[in-house]
Amino acid sequence: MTSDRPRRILVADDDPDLLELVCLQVERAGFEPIRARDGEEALRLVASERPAMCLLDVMMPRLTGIEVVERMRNDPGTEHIPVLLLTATVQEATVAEGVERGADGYLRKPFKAAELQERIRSLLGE
Amino acid sequence: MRTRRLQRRLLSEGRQRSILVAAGVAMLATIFVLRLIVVNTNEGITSLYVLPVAFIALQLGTLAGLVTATAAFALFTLWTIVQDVDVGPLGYVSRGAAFFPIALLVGYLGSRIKAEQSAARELAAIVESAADPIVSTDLGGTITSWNPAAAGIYGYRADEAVGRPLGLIVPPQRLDESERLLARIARGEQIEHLETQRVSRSGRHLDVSLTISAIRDAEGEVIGASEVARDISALKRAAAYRDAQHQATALLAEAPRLESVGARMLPLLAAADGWDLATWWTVTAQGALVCETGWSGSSPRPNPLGEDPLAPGLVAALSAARAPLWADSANPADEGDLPPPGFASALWIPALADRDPAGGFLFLSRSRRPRDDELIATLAGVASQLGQFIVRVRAQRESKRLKDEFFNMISHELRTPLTSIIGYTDLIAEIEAPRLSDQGRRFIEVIERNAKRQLRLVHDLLLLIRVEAGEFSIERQPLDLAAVVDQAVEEARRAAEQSGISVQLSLEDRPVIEGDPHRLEQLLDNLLNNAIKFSEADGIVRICLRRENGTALIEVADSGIGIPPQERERLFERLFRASAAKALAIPGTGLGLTIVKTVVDAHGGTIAVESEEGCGTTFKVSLPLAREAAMAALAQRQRTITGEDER
Repeated sequence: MTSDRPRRILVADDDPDLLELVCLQVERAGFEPIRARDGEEALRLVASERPAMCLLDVMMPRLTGIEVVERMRNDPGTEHIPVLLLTATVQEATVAEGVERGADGYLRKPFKAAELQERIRSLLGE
Repeated sequence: MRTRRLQRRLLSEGRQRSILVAAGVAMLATIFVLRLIVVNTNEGITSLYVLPVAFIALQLGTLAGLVTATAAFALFTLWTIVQDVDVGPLGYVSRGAAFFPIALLVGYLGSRIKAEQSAARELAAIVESAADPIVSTDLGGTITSWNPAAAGIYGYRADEAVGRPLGLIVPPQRLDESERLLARIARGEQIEHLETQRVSRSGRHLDVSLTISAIRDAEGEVIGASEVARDISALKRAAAYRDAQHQATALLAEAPRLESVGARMLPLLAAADGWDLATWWTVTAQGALVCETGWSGSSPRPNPLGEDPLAPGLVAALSAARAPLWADSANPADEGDLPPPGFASALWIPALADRDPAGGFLFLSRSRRPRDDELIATLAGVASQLGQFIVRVRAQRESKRLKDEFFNMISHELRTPLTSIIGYTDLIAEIEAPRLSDQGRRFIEVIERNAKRQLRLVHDLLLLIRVEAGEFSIERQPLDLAAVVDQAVEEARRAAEQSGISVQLSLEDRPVIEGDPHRLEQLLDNLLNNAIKFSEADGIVRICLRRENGTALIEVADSGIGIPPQERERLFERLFRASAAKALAIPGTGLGLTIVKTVVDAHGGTIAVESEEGCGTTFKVSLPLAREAAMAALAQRQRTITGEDER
């Protein structure tokens, strides 16, 4: 960590319990979470808050995680922000589609706290 | 001189008389003798076969007599005329008698000439009224005659064609052939039923069957050729249409990709009737009709209409058409836009999917073609088949999409609560550990264990649904198998310890394979879970990973109750459960080994089982090792990760 203020990570999930769980894990890893309850809110917050990275649930109302990634990649202001998809689906095609449309990786739910922390650090180059 | 003539005359008179008497006597004698024989035979010894022989001999003899007499008269008379011999009244009688055969001869010749004349007229009438074009040429190939059928079919009047070269009706690429044929005729050959092509004045190619005969002069010398053409275009077309229809059906039966089916069908249809340009149009997702591809001659034309697309109004008209549209330069359609500039005939065949256009074929020809309803019906038939195919595939895709959506939703709904349960129990165990009593910690472990058991079941069921749907696939990546085994053992160890079973891991090698880590985890999870379930307290489960015979071998051995031989073969059947499992009420669904087998098969591996009742069971899973390239990729990835960690 170079600055005193913890780096911020956007977490988007429509399930409030899971949103809280992921945010807790993000905090425990030493980052500050930004909460979004659906895809639209996630996209809005990404644009206004410019987080260091995003953890996006795939199946969300309004905009899916994959659609959010796609729009982020089409916006010069957000195209460089790393995105990790969190998915509860086991369908390979969906996961592959997400990576194809610009996600940097995915993590299947349920995941272990250690696993999530390792992936965050790896994507942030820490 | 006078004396000689007189002498001759005198001599002649005597000779003449004797000749006449001799001829008459010979004739009468012959008749008499033959008659006698016949009468005798009839009255005497009856002989069945002598009778007809004698009769024939009689008739021949009579004829011979008559001929001889007539010839004698004729010769004599001629002689008297030539020599100017006067033989008196007898001479006149003989001259009169001689006229009879001469008149006969003249009459015969006259009738022959008349017959020939009428035969020629008859022949001319046949040629004139023949339905097939008959064209004759000299040996140089210049047209010398041209019947009305030729005028009708080739489009030139007789006066326009006669005197011109035969090349007038021969397609350029067939000119050589035409010359060779004429050479064969000149050698006296006859050519029958040769299939070739002729071209009409309007440029239309006709398939013809030719019969060519030599024309000879009075001496029998070949002076020309006469060709009768039978227009077999319709037959050829009908065969080509049947062929196209057959091929189109065969293509659809292959269940091609929806996106490629129109383009693949195009050459089949274009080839069936030699259009100059055939194009396939599709309706895009936005509802616009666009030209996707073209076909010309025998090759594809990716940009068939060049830079000059059809008039927008025409495209709109085509996209609205529900029935085939035929137009030519004399009868244009759609305000003169069809056929488009540069073409003389056009045919639009829409492909309807549930009455809505899904695309269509546009055929264009530079020369004007007569409207061909058979062709339209054939192409419309194929297009309708194509339309039905499109409807079917769309319905299948929609049903698959709905199934996928449902599957995703179920998968999401089943896993989300478990994710919360497992995640929060994890957090409690970690954060609240100091404040938990021993009992509290035990309760947390129970929750965690059962949540994981439930999660395993959900995973297994979801996997089986994919297998049942024929959609199970794995995502291969280079893997350090030891890491996957190590993690699975770590997971299993806690459950084992609660049952007082020890798990021993021996990693003899670190083989690299190309596999799906999640599926392999599921495989190991099932094998270990089984080994623990079927072991008795204080039992040992041994896991060993090593390289063997060019494969990565995972052995999972338990010291449990074993499997009777008769049940080993059925182990991998879905829902099969060992009798002991049922007897001992060991919990389970009977899905585990089916999952194991499915995952092993998907990786191209094998699984074997060894068991001894009362002593334990060993499962041996062999997985193919990774290729060199995959191993290098894994090494690279590991270096990258290590590098990042050090930074």
